[in-house]
Amino acid sequence: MTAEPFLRLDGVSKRYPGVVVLHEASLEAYRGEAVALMGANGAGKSTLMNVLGGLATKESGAIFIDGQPVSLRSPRDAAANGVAFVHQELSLLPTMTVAENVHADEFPVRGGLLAPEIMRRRTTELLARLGSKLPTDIRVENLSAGDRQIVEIARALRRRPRIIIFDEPTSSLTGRETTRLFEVIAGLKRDRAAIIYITHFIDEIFAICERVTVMRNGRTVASAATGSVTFRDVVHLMLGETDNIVRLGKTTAGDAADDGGDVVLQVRGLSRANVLKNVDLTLRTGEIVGLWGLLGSGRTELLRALIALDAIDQGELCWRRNGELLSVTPRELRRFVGFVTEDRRGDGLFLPLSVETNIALPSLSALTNRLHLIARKKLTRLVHSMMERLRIKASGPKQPVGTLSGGNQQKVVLARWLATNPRLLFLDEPTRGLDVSAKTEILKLAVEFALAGGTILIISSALEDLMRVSDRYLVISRGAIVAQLPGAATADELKLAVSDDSSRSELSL
Amino acid sequence: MNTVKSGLSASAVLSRYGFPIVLASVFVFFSVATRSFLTLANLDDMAHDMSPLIVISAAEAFVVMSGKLDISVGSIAFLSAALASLAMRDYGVDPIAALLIALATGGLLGAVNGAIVVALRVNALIATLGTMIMFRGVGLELTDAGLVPLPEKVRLLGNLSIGPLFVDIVVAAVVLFTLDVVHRRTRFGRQIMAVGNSEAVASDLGIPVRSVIFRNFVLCGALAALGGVLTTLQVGAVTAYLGSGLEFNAVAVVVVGGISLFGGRGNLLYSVTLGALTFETIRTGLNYYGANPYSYRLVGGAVIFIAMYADALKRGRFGQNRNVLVRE
Amino acid sequence: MHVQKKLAVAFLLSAILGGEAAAKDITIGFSWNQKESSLETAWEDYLKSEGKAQGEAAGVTIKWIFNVANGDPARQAANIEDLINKGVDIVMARAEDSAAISASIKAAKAANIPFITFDRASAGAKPTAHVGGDSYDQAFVAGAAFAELLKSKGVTGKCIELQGALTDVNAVNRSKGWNEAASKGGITTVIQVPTEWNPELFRSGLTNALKAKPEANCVFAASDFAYTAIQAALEGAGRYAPTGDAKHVWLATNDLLPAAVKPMEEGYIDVSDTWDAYRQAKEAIRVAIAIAKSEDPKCAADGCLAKGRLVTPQTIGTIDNLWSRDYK
Repeated sequence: MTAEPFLRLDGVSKRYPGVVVLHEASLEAYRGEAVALMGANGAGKSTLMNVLGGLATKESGAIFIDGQPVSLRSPRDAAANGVAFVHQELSLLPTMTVAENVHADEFPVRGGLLAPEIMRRRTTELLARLGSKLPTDIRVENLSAGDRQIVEIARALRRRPRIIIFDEPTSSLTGRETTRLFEVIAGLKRDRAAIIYITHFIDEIFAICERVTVMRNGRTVASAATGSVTFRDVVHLMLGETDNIVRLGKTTAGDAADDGGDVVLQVRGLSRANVLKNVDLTLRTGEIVGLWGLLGSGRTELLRALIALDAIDQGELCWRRNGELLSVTPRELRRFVGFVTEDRRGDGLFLPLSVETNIALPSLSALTNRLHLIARKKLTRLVHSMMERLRIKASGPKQPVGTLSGGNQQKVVLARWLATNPRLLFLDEPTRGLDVSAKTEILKLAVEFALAGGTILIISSALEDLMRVSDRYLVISRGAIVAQLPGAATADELKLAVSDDSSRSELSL
Repeated sequence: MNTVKSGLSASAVLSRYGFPIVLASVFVFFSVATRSFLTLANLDDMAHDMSPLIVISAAEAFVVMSGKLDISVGSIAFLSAALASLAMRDYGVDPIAALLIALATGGLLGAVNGAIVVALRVNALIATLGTMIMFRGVGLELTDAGLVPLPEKVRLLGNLSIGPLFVDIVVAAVVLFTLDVVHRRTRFGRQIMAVGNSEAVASDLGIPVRSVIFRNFVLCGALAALGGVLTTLQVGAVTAYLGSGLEFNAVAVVVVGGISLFGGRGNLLYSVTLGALTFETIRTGLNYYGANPYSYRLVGGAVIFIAMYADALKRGRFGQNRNVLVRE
Repeated sequence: MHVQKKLAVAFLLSAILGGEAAAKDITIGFSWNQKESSLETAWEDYLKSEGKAQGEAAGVTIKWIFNVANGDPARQAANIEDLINKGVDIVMARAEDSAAISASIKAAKAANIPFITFDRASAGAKPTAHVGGDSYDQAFVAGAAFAELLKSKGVTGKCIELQGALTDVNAVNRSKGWNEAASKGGITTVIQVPTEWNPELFRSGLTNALKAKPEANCVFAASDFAYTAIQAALEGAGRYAPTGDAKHVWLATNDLLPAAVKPMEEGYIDVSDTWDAYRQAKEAIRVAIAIAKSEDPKCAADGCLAKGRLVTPQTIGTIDNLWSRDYK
């Protein structure tokens, strides 16, 4: 380990309209070492790396490589300075061969024609360095995820980079492929490259990284040797302090027995091969249940399965109708549930369409007159009342939703489902990407809904948000409900409930 | 090894070799059902006939492999040939110069296509639909929608042969083999495939996507002009019908030959030959058979349908692994 | 008494005016779809000359207003509107688009102006009258004469029929005409080749047919517009020779377009029936005059069709008003 860092990012700041994504962020990396870069979604680690990789421009700050200041304004600049970026989304050409993909950014030519011998030889060498014996003339589309990643890394290595960034490299690898990747990284370290390793799998960093840098809200909050921190330390650093959480709405004093309202939904034995394992749950009127678990634990999958957006192998559902709990299929349940999805821009909203259209869409059949035409007055009234109730800030109901702020967009999604008068609301990451006041508003609306007798099942990776509204918690891991915690549970208890895993523990963030 | 191997089930065999099998059966059928289909003279004639189509289909294949489409090739062929013929008839230009005029015109028209697609960012199908109409209109204006006959000595070149081979077969073969080399063994050819796979990925990799697409259209235009010249030589004149429907034939040949309309895939030599041969066999065979004229379209349509169906089946199998590799 | 005076004045006036109307002037507004080829020039000349000749005989002076639309249906519609506004007595038009012309027909009718479609029929609204060429007769007469010729030479006709595009009503009529004449005249059509009016298919289709039916000794071409293609095919088969030569393939065509004039003069084409610009113009004037006089032009169901004229190598030099020979 040399005294001077080979790579230094100093005071890097960047903002998008209305949002600061990086605030004086910094990072150091040394030759022959790997530094883990960690942080929750939106913490800024991807943006910082995009700046390093020449994919994003910084507004202030400096980058030093080997003591020299560098300007990285394009991926070509970055490559010229010895920076290689292995992205999460692989940039491979599926119908072309391994050798071609490895050379795709610069095919070697001799006298105008491609030099296949050179390509083959170099590719084989690079693959051998990575411990792979893949034939070079096989088409990439026929390779497994792990092998494809090797090809991508081989391409990155071809230009002899001195700094290599890995962005979430193990997300779709099997255990064996991950082990192989670690061997590759160890080899790269031996070759004196400086590695930056982005991941959300905390135990990985202890296996492969010498240092760890944690970011939160666009700032670098800590940087230490991995030998001197524990798992819990890292978690704390990533989440920040979660002690003083102000609860919204009702208090949960005591909360001993289930003396909430009537049972409104009862689920028994919900299963789907490899995804959900025998899930039992009970929801009552007027309660907000926080579904807490790690990334990949099956939270969204559970919600989707409950309303037949995905198939199930078995399970029984009972729903309260006319005062009784009656058996119901997930398809039927969908009619009574409003599902505010994770990705509001992707599959929640029709961005070019107006606020009015987005809100009214699922309710259209209720807004028709006798001729089965849409009754404009009814629609306008509905939209107006929703906009008021949720305090949606827009220039008018005709404003295209794509131009609203994130918080207001989320409110539109919420309004749409509230307009259908559901008795049950599924909220999947409803506060993601919103600023503090918008978050509070959304959470307040959720509480209002519950106070009015509705039921909410809420997913959030932001523990503090979940803790502000949940009456109780269902802890899910690997598709099964592993614990139930009361509303008064502390942040530590909740973190413990999910960190208690044998092989791979990840923290959803 | 974690790699996936494609199975040898019946459907796999069919989707891979289906087309050659169909072609072979059709060939055998006509050989047996008619007297002189399976003769050297006929095969020679068929090759002679196919030559313009091969040239133009190879050009179209390049464009398709880059993920675009050019349906103005017929009009380019017409306008280029028309200009060359008019130059010879009205200005006494000599044949070699006229040929160069045709090729240059084709390249220029291709550049127009390229500019519209790349600079104005118009969808290729729509852009070339517009130029198809425009170019043909210009050509009809210039030729008064009439016949422009070739000077006699030039006309004789049309059926010229070196020994048993017609000259234009040689030309077509040279073009095809050269293009195949360009496709497989030059940077340009590989970049075309990369762009056809995914423009976004190609661009990320630093490939000059817009330049590649533009040059591709220019090349296609020049080759379309060459095809137009070959046709005109065979027929002895430029008529208003020259090249009409040719774009349809070229695309049909490309698809029937196994090149996916999605781009990024294809073996030029094999596909163009297979596709052109299929259509030529069917049409010539029907000629020899003396089939009812109304049946020609039916058979042609059926063949295209089978090709499309086979292509869809093939895509269905690999459908998940389409052009973007996404983490599961 | 005053009333009688008024009536007398009225009678006198009407006599004077009516008298002037006896030496009538009619203005015909003619809308060309385009006027770039020699055919249109010939037509216009014939129309004017016939207008003068027939007009004098009928006591009518025909004034003309011509306009040209350059191949654009919208422009033609505007041009016709222009004529209507100018208050012409009759509108005649050669439609660029047989569907689009309907609108102009309706507009003329609304303005009480008779509308005559010339050469191209309307696919929609019916005009006051249609004047065109009789394509059935063309083929029938040529076929009958051809049969006579072959009989006189002691040849049993085994003919190849080169058909036009089966979506073209003229092609369909010609095929009908030919087949009926052939069967009456003892000629066997051994093979029918669809050409889609495409010269390449003329060439390849004829080449294949000659090989498939080596016993064929004659050819009927539904049009000789692509004569060079026919020539290329015959040359390729080594059978291109004029009448009198043992290799000669008996050839009957329709249209006798400029490309076919020289070959007929040289004896390569034996019989043809013209697409007769002269007769069509003559018929058009007859119909126009009849309509102007409020008489019934007595047209058949598909219009007043002008028959073509039979031409042979013997008569081609002397026949009058042969536009393809006279206009270049």
